[in-house]
Amino acid sequence: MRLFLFAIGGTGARTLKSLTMLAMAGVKPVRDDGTPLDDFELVPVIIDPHRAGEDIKRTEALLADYRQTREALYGDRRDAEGFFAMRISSLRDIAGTGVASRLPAGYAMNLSAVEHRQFSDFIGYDTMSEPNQALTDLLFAPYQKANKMNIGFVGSPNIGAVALNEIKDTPEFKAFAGVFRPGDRIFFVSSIFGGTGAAGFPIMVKNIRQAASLDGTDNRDALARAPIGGLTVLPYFTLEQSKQDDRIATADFVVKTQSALHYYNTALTGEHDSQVNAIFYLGDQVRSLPYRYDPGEHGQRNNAHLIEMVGALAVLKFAAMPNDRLMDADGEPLPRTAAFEYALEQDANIIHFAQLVAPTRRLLYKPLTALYHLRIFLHDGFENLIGQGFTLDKPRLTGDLIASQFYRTVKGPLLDSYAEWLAEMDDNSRSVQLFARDVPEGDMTHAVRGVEPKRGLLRLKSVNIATYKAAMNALTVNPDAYATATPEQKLMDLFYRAAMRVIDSNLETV
Amino acid sequence: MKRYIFLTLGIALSVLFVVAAYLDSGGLYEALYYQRDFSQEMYELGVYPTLALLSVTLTWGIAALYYYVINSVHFDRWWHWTLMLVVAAVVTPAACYAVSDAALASAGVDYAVQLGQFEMQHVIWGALLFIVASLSMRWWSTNCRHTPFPQ
Repeated sequence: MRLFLFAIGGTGARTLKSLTMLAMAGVKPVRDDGTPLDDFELVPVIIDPHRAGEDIKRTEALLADYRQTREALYGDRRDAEGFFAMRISSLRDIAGTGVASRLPAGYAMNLSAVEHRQFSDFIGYDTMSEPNQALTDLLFAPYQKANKMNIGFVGSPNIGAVALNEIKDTPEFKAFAGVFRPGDRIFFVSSIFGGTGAAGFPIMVKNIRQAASLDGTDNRDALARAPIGGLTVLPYFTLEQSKQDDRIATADFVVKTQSALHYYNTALTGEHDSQVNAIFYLGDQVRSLPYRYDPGEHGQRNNAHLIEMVGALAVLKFAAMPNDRLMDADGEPLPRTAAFEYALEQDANIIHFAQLVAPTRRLLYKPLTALYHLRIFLHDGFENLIGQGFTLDKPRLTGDLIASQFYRTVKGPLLDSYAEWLAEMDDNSRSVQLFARDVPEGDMTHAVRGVEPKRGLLRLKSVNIATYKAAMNALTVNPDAYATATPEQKLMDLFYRAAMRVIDSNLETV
Repeated sequence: MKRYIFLTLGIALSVLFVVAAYLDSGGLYEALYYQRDFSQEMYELGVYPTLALLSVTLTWGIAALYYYVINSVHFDRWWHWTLMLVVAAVVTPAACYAVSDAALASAGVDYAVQLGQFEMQHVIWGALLFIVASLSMRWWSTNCRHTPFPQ
């Protein structure tokens, strides 16, 4: 099953980044009975005219490295298990050869028809009749008309609602319509209190549901009946006040949210006019630390936040949802939108694994810890182990592996991004402190906040490079264990399996 | 498959070593050290087979200790194994000396000088048998199977 994930605006991009972090750790959609959804492929599409935004660039760079790494490990397989197990493809990857050549590389939709123009030019303000200009003046403030859209819609959904109508004519939308098949699903991630996301979500849903009337759109019936889910992110961050510029103000977030919710209730989730099968509402009254005021001109780089990590879980939950919760026996969407919320186990300002609800803990604790340990292992120990133990079993792990692009990408950009993501969530409010930053560098025993090592026969157990070396040695005692694997596959799979054992045997369960 | 060939070969060589000690001629022991009165006494007391069996038991025991009891990632380098080799090369002649000396003493004879010279060969036998035992049994050790050199 493919899930097309439309990540709209900055919140969409950051939530997609969180989802990619979870995917790096090996987190996959899990059904209610606990079994993983193996035949799963995520196809993310970032929708934001502000493509130069730092959050979007960071997410795209992460996805590009993820894709390369995942391909080296599993090729086309969807049923992988371990780090990077989730298959994440771009539209270009899955579109036919002819179509793919017309699509841009990467994951962000090319909105060049929008992004290089001033909004007033885009709507042809200068060529309008005087009454139309007057009406436009009523609907759009002067700064909105003057807005050059390569920095986004600066918190103005009324701009986005007009500009994003162009999406249905883009090669990306047509490619998406061409590859969508019955059984696939669609999910949107957007904030409701800004400009791009609040406008983009209903417009995209409208275009998909009205696919039958769109010229040149393939799979119209499948699109019209497609299971659609959406994560609507309510206000969760604040901005520093700007004395010179009040285009975006934290004080407006709630009013904007109320208006948009009212509209969504009418156009998307209404009791008798449901266009969306499932909707996830997520917000937090404990606001983030104020982000730097930046409507877009300075790159818009916001720290990662708990809400985005929880938002990523909504994508996984929707993907694993049984069909009968979304549609009737004939494949028609159920008349009512299923709505979901999320709560913490404890309302705390500092979040450890223990503050997350049990299903989330079960899903995240071991994979995230394993990835955290992997970073320490690669930085502090692995290279010194070359020529010892498990590295000598076939295929041998040698200096060639350490010099490879694969290894350098994993150890460098990917795991550094992971550490940065954790640190950003830690620095934010609520502060997500899953891993300790005040323990000595390389200490894996006390790395997980709120988790103590288990008691051994004489003393507390520990987790260190030697623990992992022993676990990896034990897993390769059969010489054929990795006989057909590449060194890259062996290293990553072996460490993942070792980590599952080590975490179970040496650390308390949360 | 390779691992089973090495194990079988190692067992065969060790058994051969013990069997060789039973030979009428005094076997390997007298081939390497012969001093008429001393060797005659050792032969008549039937010490040679005991020494061979003891040497095999000790060296295989020390190897087993290294590969399956210690079996540590902190003790898996070639120099750690070399240390165990030295232990085998010291413990084996020492134990054999003690056994031979007790046997000779019970017979009321004293060949301290000859026994000391004779036991020098157990330094070699101890080392060789430890190598044989290592190459035979290391394959199933989780942490030391690549010691002293990769499989």
